[in-house]
Amino acid sequence: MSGTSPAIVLEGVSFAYAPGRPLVLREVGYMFKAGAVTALLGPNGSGKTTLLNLILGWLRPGAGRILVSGLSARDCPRGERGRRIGLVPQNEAPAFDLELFEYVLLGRAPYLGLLERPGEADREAALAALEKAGIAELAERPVRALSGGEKQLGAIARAVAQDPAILLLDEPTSHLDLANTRRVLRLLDALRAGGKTILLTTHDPNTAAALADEAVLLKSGRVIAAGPPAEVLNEGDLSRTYGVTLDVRMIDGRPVVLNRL
Amino acid sequence: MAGKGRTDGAYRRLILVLAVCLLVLTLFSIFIGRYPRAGLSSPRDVLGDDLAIRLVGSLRLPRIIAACLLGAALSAAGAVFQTLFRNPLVDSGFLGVSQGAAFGASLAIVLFGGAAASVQLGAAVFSLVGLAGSYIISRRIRFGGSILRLVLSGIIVASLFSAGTGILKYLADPNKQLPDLTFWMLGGLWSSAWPDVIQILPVTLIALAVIYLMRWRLNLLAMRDETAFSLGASPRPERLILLLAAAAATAAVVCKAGQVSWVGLIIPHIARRLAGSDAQKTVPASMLLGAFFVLACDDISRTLLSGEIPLGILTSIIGTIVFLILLMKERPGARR
Repeated sequence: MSGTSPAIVLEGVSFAYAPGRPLVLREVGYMFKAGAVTALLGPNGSGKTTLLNLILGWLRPGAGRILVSGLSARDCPRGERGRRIGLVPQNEAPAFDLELFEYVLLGRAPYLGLLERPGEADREAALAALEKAGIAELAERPVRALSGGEKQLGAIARAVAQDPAILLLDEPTSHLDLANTRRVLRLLDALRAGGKTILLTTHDPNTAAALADEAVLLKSGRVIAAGPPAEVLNEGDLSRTYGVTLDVRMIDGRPVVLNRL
Repeated sequence: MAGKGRTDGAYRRLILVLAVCLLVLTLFSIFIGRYPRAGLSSPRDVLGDDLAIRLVGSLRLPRIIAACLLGAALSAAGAVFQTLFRNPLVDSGFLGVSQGAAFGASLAIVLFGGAAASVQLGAAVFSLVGLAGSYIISRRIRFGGSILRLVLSGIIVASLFSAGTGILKYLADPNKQLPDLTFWMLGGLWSSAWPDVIQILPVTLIALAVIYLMRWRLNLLAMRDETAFSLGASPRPERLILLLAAAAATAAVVCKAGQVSWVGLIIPHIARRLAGSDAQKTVPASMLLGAFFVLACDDISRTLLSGEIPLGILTSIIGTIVFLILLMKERPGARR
């Protein structure tokens, strides 16, 4: 993982869900650093999840282009895709009572052909991912019976088993209590230390400040500000992004955002 | 790893038990019937009777195979539909496959007087029309994810075919055609001889093989579109392969056997209770259980009374009772 060349490049990306519908993203240009954690912040409907799906290649930009590790989604070989980028969607639950281990094992799909089934090496990778996430003891529990925090760690464990170079996470810490938020943040920190490029959306500027190397503020499909959290998470830009007046205090060199009545 | 080894061992034992049960029932079925005597005849009686040997060879054996194919196909298709649609109450009735078959068979009965070949052809053609219609309409619905769109369009197509069948029932000659039509709807294997089995064998086996080979991938394709895509799958075309296989298996057996309801709905449920929700395990367990269940029902259907009891009635009665008992019993035999 070279630290200098960007992992993801967005050039003038615009997107609407259907022709004639309002643009969700407007000429977004940004370079996401490799091996870093970037937090996408913005109000509901600002285009965060859409941006993740565009980078994933699930959605195609209406204008502009997106390069992931130097390749556009169209040029990426089909089998390569799942090893290049992984996604942890928001509030995901399998349809039936899959056990956590079986669920995490799905992360091995990019390494298996259409008719193949996971083998011993895949099972070991899934188990290692569960251990890394600290939830190996839950392996045989049905995913549906897990708590919110355990589910989220399970979804990340699935991505760990998948072992992509770039990891996209949609709201990984919303709905989690403080202890579970810390478990998730520590796991992501460990993944960054292992060289992963991480891109996450969040509603909590303090989460971004605690973990991210870069923060990007999105509003109505435009980038308002981007850069290190200590610079980007300032009162002016944050208040402009969310449309309400917010207080920001610096504590231990880290911005802390205070909401008020 | 030790923990996973144990549950895999439990699964292997379950499959072995189911396979042995099916084998034993198959052997029994050869000697069950109305000849040489009603009920179970001793092997010596059968082997010592030329007529009985011919009866077993040309009627009972193909019928046993047809029952196994019917059960395995309906159950495997049910497991596919339930997993892909993330809905435990779905079977091949969704996507318009069964209703299409019913409409096609009714049409053949009303238009062509119900010659067996025309009924089967009508059922086969219209079950595929039902699937194609559901798929094409789903691509035009501008609402929901791809799975919800398929379910919605399937309901639309199924209801249209049901209405069409209703019209045909209304138009049918109440003395000749209506009884035929009603009887077909009740389902049964009374007309299964070797040519029938050989006709449906290739399609059914290929479709079942596709489902069997892709069984692990079913788990993946049951995830949301974006998630499946992020794991390297092409969700829509891959789901289509599995849906086509499930519909083809259903169409092949339904065109011979008529409407045999409840099998595709309850067998995957029971399989999930016994083997767990991993489709890798649910699919083989469903196939074996389905074959066993339909064979057992068909044995009763052709043995209990001197006339046939329509198979569809038996699968419904026995199926619902077994299902109810399972639901009321707390976690029967399932590992949790």
